[in-house]
Amino acid sequence: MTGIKILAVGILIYLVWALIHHKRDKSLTFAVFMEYLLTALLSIVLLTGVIF
Amino acid sequence: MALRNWFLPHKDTHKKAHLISWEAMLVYVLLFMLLQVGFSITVYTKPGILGITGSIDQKKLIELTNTEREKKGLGKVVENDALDKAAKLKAENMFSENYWAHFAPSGKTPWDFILGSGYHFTFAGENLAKNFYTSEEVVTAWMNSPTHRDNLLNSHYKDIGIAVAEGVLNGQKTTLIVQEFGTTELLATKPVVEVSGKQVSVPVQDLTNKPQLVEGATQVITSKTLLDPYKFSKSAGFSVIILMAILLTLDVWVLKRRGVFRISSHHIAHMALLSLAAGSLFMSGPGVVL
Repeated sequence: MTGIKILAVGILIYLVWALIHHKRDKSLTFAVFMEYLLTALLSIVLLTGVIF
Repeated sequence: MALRNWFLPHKDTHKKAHLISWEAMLVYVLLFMLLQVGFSITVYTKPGILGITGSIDQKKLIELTNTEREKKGLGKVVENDALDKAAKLKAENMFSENYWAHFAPSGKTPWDFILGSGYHFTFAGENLAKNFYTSEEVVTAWMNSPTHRDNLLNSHYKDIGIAVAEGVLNGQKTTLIVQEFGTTELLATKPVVEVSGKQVSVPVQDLTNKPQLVEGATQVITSKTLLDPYKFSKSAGFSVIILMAILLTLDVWVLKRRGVFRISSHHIAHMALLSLAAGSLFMSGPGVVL
């Protein structure tokens, strides 16, 4: 359970940073957004398969 | 579609390799979800096919428990036949009634098993564990949980009984570990059982009407366990993370060599998150304590 909590915090930082960075950089496209979102989702799915 | 485009950026458009495109990521997510659904369906349609085979030793668990107690300056607990029987009855009951709890759905309490096995305690306690691979992992998990640690390190206890039982629980082959502690020494309090960090007073009628518990047959595993779903998911997860790390590194290297700029997400951010996922995956396991 500690692992998933650490990962959840990491994902939150990762997504917020990505949105702020690409918005400022004017490079926030649909493909870029999906890459971040799906990487985050994949990380969670990989871990839940082992815990639950 | 050239094979190299699956692994390297396109030589003309410099688009990312197909295997690290967002479309591919979507496929990975869906495949892993499908795998979990497949496992869930299998445990209901073919009970016992999936599961964990641990190498947990009853004597080793007692030895490790005493090591932890000695570290805190507490006396050793001695293996007691009646408590061993109580733990065995409890484990068998969990398999036969298909539950994972201190109190059975049929109303059986932890002290029913202890009293039923002939152990007349004044203070007792119960720790449970399942889905662990080694004895060390079990005791470490109990020590990492404050309520289980308090139970394991309770100075009142003089005796211990442990059962390690294999069976099918919720469709999955499982190794259950039941740890019963107790003392028959006269204490100032009424008989109490400690479960999940709470001290539960044993009703007087339960002490006088000793439950008659019959050793039941544990659910027999008729089919051989074919796959450990947790090890499989872990291996598949590591494979995907390693594949993505290699392809992301190749992507950066090839673009740098070509000297081109492309609007894209940041590979370092992805790699940082995937490293965190790999670390979490490495630390995590299916074992749970109760």
